[in-house]
Amino acid sequence: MLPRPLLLSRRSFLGRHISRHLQEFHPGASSRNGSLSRRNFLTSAAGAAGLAFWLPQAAQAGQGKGKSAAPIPIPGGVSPLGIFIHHFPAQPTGTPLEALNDPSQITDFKGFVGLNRIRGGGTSPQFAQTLAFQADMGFMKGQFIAEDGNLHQGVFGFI
Amino acid sequence: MDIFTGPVGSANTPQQIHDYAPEITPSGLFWTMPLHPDSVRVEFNSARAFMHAESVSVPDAHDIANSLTHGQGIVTPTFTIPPIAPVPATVSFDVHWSGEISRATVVNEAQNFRGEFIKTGSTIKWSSIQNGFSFESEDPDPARSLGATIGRERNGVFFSADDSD
Repeated sequence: MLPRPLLLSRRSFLGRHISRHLQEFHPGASSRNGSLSRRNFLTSAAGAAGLAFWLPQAAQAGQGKGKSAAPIPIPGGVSPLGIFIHHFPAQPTGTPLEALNDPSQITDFKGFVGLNRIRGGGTSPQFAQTLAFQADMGFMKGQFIAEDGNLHQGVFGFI
Repeated sequence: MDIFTGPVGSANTPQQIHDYAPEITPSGLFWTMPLHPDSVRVEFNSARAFMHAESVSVPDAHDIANSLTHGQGIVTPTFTIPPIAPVPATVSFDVHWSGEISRATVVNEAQNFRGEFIKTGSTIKWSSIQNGFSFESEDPDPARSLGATIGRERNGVFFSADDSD
């Protein structure tokens, strides 16, 4: 799917964030008085808003000044085996939603999320007995600000 | 997606023999990879979501300890997991979220996220294949779900955004 333009107002939430980001990290795009000119804002915002829908190659290869289009992890998480990870496991069915931890793995994200934990059994030709499995699965489908500071749209699986 | 030699329902690390997950990136992005847009379908008002993919390449780290330590193993007070290098594998999966249990608006300022969330049931049918090993899970069984949630959320810089933005 080809990237498509996203029209942004400089006064919109995203416009303000992109404008602030450009001022902080891309000062060359600013005019002499330190504020963004309309042309520079539109030029930069157009690039920032170039949606990378299903562009894993771009995410892997990186875009713009060494920063990639990969999403940024959530800041929080847990520490299984004493090792911190940017992830909150799915909570048991009986835990009320009011106690929910962020089910997303991606920060600066808005969209649909899903997360679960399932334990079951299965078979393998290499084993005589039934094997046990645990699957922690999830998804994120929506828009996010990537490492490159730009707005992208994508679908990610938590596997 | 983990496989153990213990009884069904168990998930004991010393009994783990396979751990399929995308590598943790240098930024810390955890077990997450891009999927084709058609891989995920959400019917939020109906409390349903679907995730499907076939022959996805992921490393098999053997166990969670080696997945978290990039193959360095780990020594804990109760068990030792030796270093094991990851090997290439592919997985296929069909995951469903359905059956509304509860629904709520959640605003979590400590974790900087908010949204509408639904507790649901969930099922999975999945398989893996690699050099010298293959696995196929049992048919989808709603009784196997330990916890599942779908949501429409905003976090990070979008936490305070108006819906109109």
